[in-house]
Amino acid sequence: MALQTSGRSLGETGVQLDRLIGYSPLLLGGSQINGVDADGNYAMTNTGMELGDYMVNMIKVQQVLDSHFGLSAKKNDATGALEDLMHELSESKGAESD
Amino acid sequence: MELTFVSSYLEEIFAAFTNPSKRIFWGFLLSSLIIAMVWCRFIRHQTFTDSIRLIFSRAAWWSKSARADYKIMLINGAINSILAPKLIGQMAIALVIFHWMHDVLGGRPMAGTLLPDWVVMLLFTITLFLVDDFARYFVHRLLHRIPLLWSFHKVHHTATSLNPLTVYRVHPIEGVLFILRGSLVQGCCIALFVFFFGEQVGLVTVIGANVLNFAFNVFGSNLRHSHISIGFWRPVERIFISPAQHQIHHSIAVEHHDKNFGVALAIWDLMFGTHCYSNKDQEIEFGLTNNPAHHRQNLKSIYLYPFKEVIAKSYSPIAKKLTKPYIHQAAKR
Repeated sequence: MALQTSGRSLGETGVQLDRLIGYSPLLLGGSQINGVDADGNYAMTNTGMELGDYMVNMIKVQQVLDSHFGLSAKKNDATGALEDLMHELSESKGAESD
Repeated sequence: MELTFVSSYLEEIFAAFTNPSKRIFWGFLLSSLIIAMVWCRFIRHQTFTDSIRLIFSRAAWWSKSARADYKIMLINGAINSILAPKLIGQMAIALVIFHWMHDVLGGRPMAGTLLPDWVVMLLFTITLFLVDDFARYFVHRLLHRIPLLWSFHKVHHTATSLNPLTVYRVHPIEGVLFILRGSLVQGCCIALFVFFFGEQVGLVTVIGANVLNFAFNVFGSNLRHSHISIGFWRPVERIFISPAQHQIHHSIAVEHHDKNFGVALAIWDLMFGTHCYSNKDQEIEFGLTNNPAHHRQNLKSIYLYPFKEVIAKSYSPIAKKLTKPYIHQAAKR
């Protein structure tokens, strides 16, 4: 949210984040808040998304932020363990045949 | 750009000898040499000089076939430096599977808290080794059984003398399959374990290599591509592939064709009926057939002929005219 309201155009990254996050955090029942009406009530929209899908989107948000902004302090990094293991397993560029 | 390519190429060649995850890491070559020396001296009862003569025989290390191996290794290093970065990596595969499991299971159970870290690491190391070894067996079997793939894998079997660098006598098309197989195996195993066990997952390593791969390599894996025919006790050959068993895989004898596809473990060969024990003092002629014309050692044939053969196998009348008749006979193997 800080990034989105900073006044700086995020370009393609902003579009990616918008698509992944949607209007707001996902509420129970798969709805999201997309505005406030004239009476001050929240306007809801049903995205048809399930919590599992939204969790995956949040993981993707982490990856987008990491790859575009070079994050160094990472808390609850869902895919950090994947990357650590990739480094541990050396890549095999040269094919070894038997 | 050119500098990046050159440094990547040199790194690739250099890493084969300095990276303990590679078969021809200098330490594994040394351990294979020690094992070969012990075998010559104490099993074959040869003198020290005769042992050295046998191990470093010119016929094995400087034959036309061996020289082709060295050239192929140098050329493939360049090809791999260009191709490998363009192929799908294990990270991409791991992420797809990781996301898919979140979707299907609706969240992450984090079973890891039930098991201590060392158990998770051991489980991961063993699983990765077993899945990787089975995948190698399976792909190797396909390389022999599917005519199109055999055309490319045959390059490895045109070696008429074996030395540790024969392991890199691979057509680049097979090299692509090798990289994709490795990425798939690593991607699947990593995604599965990280999904369930999170940051507890790690690899049990010795000097940076998977401990089980390290054990396989340190106990003479390089001797499988050599003329040093060390067999194991039969019950052991039911579990592990001995160097002599792998040499059978390279034999021109018809009864040895399509046997011993395994890399480290013989259990897959036993399970799928392709197992063959080694014999004491076995004398094996390496190659495809007893026709020398089938063992092309010039680089042009090694790299281009598989493509010609694949086209010929597609039964195009024009393509058939481009290839000589004896090729079809060789391709039957």
